[in-house]
Amino acid sequence: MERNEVLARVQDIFRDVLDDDEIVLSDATTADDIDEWDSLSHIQLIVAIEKAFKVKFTSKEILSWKNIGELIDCLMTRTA
Amino acid sequence: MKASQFFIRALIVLAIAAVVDIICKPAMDSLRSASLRSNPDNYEMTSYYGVEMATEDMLILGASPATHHYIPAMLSDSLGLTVRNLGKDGAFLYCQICQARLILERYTPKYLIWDLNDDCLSHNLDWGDFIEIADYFPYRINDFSTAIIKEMGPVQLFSLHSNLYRYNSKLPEYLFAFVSGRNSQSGYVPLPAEQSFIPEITSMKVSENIHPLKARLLEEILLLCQEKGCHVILATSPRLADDGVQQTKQYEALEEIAQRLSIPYFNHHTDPRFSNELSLFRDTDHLNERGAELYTSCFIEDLHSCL
Amino acid sequence: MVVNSYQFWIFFAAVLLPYYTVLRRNSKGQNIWLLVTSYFFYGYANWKSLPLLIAVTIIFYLLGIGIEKQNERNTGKARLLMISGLVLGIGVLFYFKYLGVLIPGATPLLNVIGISFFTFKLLGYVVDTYLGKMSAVRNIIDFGAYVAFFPTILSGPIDRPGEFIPQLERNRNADWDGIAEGFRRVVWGLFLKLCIADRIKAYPDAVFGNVGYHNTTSIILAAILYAIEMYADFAGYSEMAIGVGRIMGFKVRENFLRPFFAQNVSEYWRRWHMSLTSWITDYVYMPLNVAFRGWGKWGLYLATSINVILIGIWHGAQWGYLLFGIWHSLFLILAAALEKNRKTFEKKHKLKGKWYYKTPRRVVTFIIVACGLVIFRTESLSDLTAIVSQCGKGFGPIFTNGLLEIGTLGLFSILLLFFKEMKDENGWSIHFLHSQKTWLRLASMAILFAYVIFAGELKGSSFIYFQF
Repeated sequence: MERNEVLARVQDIFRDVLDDDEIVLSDATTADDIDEWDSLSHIQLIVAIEKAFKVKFTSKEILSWKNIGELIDCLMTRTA
Repeated sequence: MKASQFFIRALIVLAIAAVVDIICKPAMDSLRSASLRSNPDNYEMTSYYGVEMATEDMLILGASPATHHYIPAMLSDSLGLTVRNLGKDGAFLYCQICQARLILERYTPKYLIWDLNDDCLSHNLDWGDFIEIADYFPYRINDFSTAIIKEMGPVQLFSLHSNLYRYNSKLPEYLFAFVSGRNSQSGYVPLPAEQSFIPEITSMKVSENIHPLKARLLEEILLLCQEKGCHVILATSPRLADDGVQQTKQYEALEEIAQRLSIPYFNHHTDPRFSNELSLFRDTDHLNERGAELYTSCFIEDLHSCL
Repeated sequence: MVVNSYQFWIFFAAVLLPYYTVLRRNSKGQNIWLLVTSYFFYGYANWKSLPLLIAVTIIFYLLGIGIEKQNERNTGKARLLMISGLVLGIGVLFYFKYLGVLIPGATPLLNVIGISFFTFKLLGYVVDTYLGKMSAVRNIIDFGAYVAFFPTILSGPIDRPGEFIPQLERNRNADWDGIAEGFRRVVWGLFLKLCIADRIKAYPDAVFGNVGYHNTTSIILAAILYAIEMYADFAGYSEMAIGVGRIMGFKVRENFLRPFFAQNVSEYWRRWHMSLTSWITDYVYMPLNVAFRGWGKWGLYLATSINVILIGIWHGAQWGYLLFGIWHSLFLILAAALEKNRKTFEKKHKLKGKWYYKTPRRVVTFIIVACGLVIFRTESLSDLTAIVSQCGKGFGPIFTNGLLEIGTLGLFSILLLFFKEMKDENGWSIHFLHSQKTWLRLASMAILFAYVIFAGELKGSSFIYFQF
C-alpha cells in the first residue's frame, strides 16, 4: 500500500470515530491539533486502526508515537 | 523591563504598603474606641476595656477561671465598691502582666484580684503563653514587655514595627462589638449549669518546673502595684479533684512569693466544698453558674477577712 | 523551610545573589550553584535523607544513559534497564512509604521527605528515555539539579524532565518581567495560604476532630470549608513554588486550574493537582488503557479505577486515601458510562455553555469532591462511620466557635478568590495584578501584600481556646 493511501484510510477512521467529517490529517498532526482527540478517544482510534488494518501494535510502539507521521510509519512496516 | 525599572517599581510597592501601614493605626484605634464605647460589656473587648476605659475600684485579672468564677455584682453589693471582671479565656500569665502594666499606667485601682492557676508559672506552655497577647500589640507593648516579646522570638520583635501586623485579625473583633448584645455581666460570663451534663475530666500535663522569667515578672508587677498603692489579692479557683495533676511546686512558689510580699493568697484548688461536687463544674477547670455563685460568696468571706 | 517563613527568604536571597551577579549568563555555574543550594535546602529539612536522594539520582542518571545506548543497539537490554529502574524506584517508594502496610508494625529506617515527588521524576525519566521521548541527560549536574530543584522538591509541582532539562541548559540572565511575575505569584500564594487556608482550617479541624459532638449542619459547613481549605493550601504552596521558580528563570508546571469550576469529576481531575494527574495519566493510565484496549469499555473502567485509586494511595498508606480513590473511581466510571447519553442530551437541548446547565453541574461536582475530601481526611474506617452516623442525627444549631474571624476575614478572602476565578474562567477583562496600567498593578500588589499581613492567619496554626 502506498503511504498516502494509508494516510487517507487513517483519516477516514479518525473522521468516523471522532464523528467529525472536517478532520484533515497530515504527518505532523498531533492530539493538540484536534479537539475531540483526547486520551480516551486515542484508545478507540488505535483499536479501530488495528481492526481496519488487521494489525496489532506493541505497547511500546503506541506509547512512543509523537504524531500521525510516526503512526503511519509504524503501520507501513506492518502492512508492507 | 530593565533592572532599574524593576527596583523603582519594587520601592513604589513598598512605599504604598508603608502608607497603608501608617494609616492603619489611627483608623483602627478610633474604630476600637468607638466600638468599645458602644458596648463596654462585650466580652471579646474585655482586654481593651481595662486598658482604655476602666475606672472601677476593684479589678479581677486572670484567665478563663477569672472570667467564669468571679461575679462582679455580688462583690459589688457586698463590698460597696465598683467591680469589673477583666478575665479572658486563654490569657495566661504574660498576657495578664501586660494588661496589668497598661492599666497601671492610666490609673491605680484600689484593689486587684489576681486569679492564678497551676500552670501560670510553668515552663512548657509555649503555645498557650502567647495566646491573646496579640490583644495588646496595638498598645506600646514594645516598651515595657520586651522581655516577653523576646521570649516570642526575634521575628516578633521585628514584625511589631508594622501596624498592619499589630492589628492583624483585629478587624472582626472591633466590628463585632457594635452588633453583638451585652454578652457579659461587667466581664463575668456565666457557664450554664446543665443537670444532665457530666463534666469531662481532662488533665493538662504541665511541667512542674518554674519558669524563672515568669516568676520574676510576676514579682515585679506585684511590687509595682504595691508601690502605686494598689492592694493585690491573689487567689486560685477550685477545680475538680483527682485528675492526677498535683502541681504542688507551682503553688508553693506562689505561696512563697505571696508571703514575701505580704500579699494575701487564697488557694481554693483543693477546697473540699468544691473538689468533689460534680454538679458545680462545667469541666475540670471551670465552675458553672451555680458553682460560681457559691465560690464568689466564699471568696467574699476571704476578702472580708483581709480587707 | 517553608516558603512562608523568614528563614526561607534569607536562604533565597543568599541563593539569588551569586546566581544573578557573578554567575549570570553562565548556565553551568548557575546549575552547580542550584544543585549545591538545593542539596543544602533538602539537607536542612532532613539531612539523613540526603544520601538517599544523591544515590538514586546517580543510579537513575546512569540508567538513562544505559537505556539510550541499548536502544541504539536495538537489544532487549533497554527494556531490562527500564524495568530495573521502575523496580528500584517503586521499591524505594514502597519501602519508605508503605512498609507499614505490607508488614504491619514495621517502620522504615528513615522518614524521607519529598520522596513521592522526586521518585516520580526519576521513574518518568527512565520511561521517557526508553520510549525515545527525550534523549538521555549527559550532564550529571543538570540531572541532579532537576531532581533536587528546591522550590518543588518537597511539595511539587512535578516537572517533566523533557520540559525542565532544556531550561537548565539555557543561560539565565535576570529577566525582570519574569521576576516581577514570580513575585506576583508568591504574594498570591501567600494570600491563598494565609488568608484562606490557615484562616479557615480551625473550623473543620474542630468539627472533624470531635465529630461526636456536632450535628449535620456543622458537618456540612466543615466539609465545605475543608474543601476550600485543601484547595487554598495546596494551590497556595504551588503558587509560591512556581513563583520562586520563576524568579530564578524557570517555568514550572502549573498545578491548579480553578478546580471548583469543573462540570464533572473527570474535568475536576484535569484541573486539580494537574502535575500529578498528568503524570499518572501519561505513565499509568495510558499504558493500562493500551494494554486493556481489547476489553472495550470494561478495560477503560478498570484503567480508570486503577488510575484514581493510585492517585489516592500516592498520598500515603492510610485507609482514607484508598477510600478516596474508590469514591472517585465510582463517579468517574459512572461519568464514562453516561458520557454518550450526556453529550446527546446536551446537543439536543443546546445546553453547552449555558449558565443554568453549567452551574448545577458545578455544584454537584463540588459536593462529590467535598465528600471525597472528607473521606480523604479520615484516618480509619471508624472515623468515617462516625461522621456518617452523626449526619444521620439531623440538623441543628450550627457550631460557632471561631466563626467570627472565619465568617468575616475568611469569607471576604474566599469571595475575593471566587471573583478572581470567575473572571478568569469567563474571560472578563478586569485585571488588577495583571492590569495594563502600571499604577494599578503596583497598587494592587501593595494592597494585596498589606492585606496578607493585616488579615492573614499569622500565628502559625490557628488555635481556638475551647470551653467545651
